[in-house]
Amino acid sequence: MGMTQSAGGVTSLKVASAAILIAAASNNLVKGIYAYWFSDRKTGVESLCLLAGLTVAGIVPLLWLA
Amino acid sequence: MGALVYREQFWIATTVTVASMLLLELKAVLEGLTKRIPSEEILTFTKFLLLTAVILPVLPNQEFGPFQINPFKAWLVVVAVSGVSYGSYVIQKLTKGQGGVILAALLGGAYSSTVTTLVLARRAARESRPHLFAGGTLIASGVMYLRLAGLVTMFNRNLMLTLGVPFAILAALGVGAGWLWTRIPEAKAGEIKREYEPTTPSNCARLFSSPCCFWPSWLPRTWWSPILAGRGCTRWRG
Repeated sequence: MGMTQSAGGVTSLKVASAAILIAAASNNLVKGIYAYWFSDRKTGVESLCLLAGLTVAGIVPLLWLA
Repeated sequence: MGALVYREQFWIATTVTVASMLLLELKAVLEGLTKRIPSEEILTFTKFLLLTAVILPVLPNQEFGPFQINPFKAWLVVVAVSGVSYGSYVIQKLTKGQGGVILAALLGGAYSSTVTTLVLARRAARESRPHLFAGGTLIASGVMYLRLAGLVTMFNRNLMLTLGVPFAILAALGVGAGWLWTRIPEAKAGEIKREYEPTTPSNCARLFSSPCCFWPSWLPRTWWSPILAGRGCTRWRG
């Protein structure tokens, strides 16, 4: 949310977009760790793998922004 | 009323009188409303109104101090985040007892995907339905991208032009893949009812943590910029 305020001004749109994508992707990874930690082993492994996949997909757009 | 009439404020005097008579007439209906709606819900709604209609308009829309903190913009973030959470909370309350884990994941993702992940994970530990709960967790994270898209659009439309397509693809990927994952047959059959009951979104600690997390992101331009520039870091702005 902080990035939305400064993007296009002091911070370039590309940097702000990259920051938001990285923040959202890392949040997905942390949720995967929470899911692994708090649920049973099988659900935890599945959730972690799925959210890790979404994390990877979440940082792919950085290639276009670079 | 007499003072208003003395000052020839007839329209205001008439309006106040009519409003008072209406409220007196509606007394029984209003009393019934307070019995039907729990006091906690009314308090939550009042807190939300306090944030949006009372506090926000009186905050100065200018930057203060060495960190150039703008109270209005900082509070606007609180209002936007609480608005989305409150909307989702109301929908969850209205659809209480309906739908299963997938609906809980969809609505929970709009409220808070992290809280939803924790709730689904804890419940998964006692239900033995790994595909359903893992898929639900992914759906909640997919919805998070839609919530983010809404918030980014509210604050910076130019930024949304850059992030719109990636967010739409990631949301579709999360929700679509999550839904497909929940369709994988499980060893244990049977429908699982929704249990997820969110806590009220006007939790003070959560609300006030928003600007605290938000302000440090302003520091680079005012505080770190000269330091980084002095050390030759000129590319940090991209």
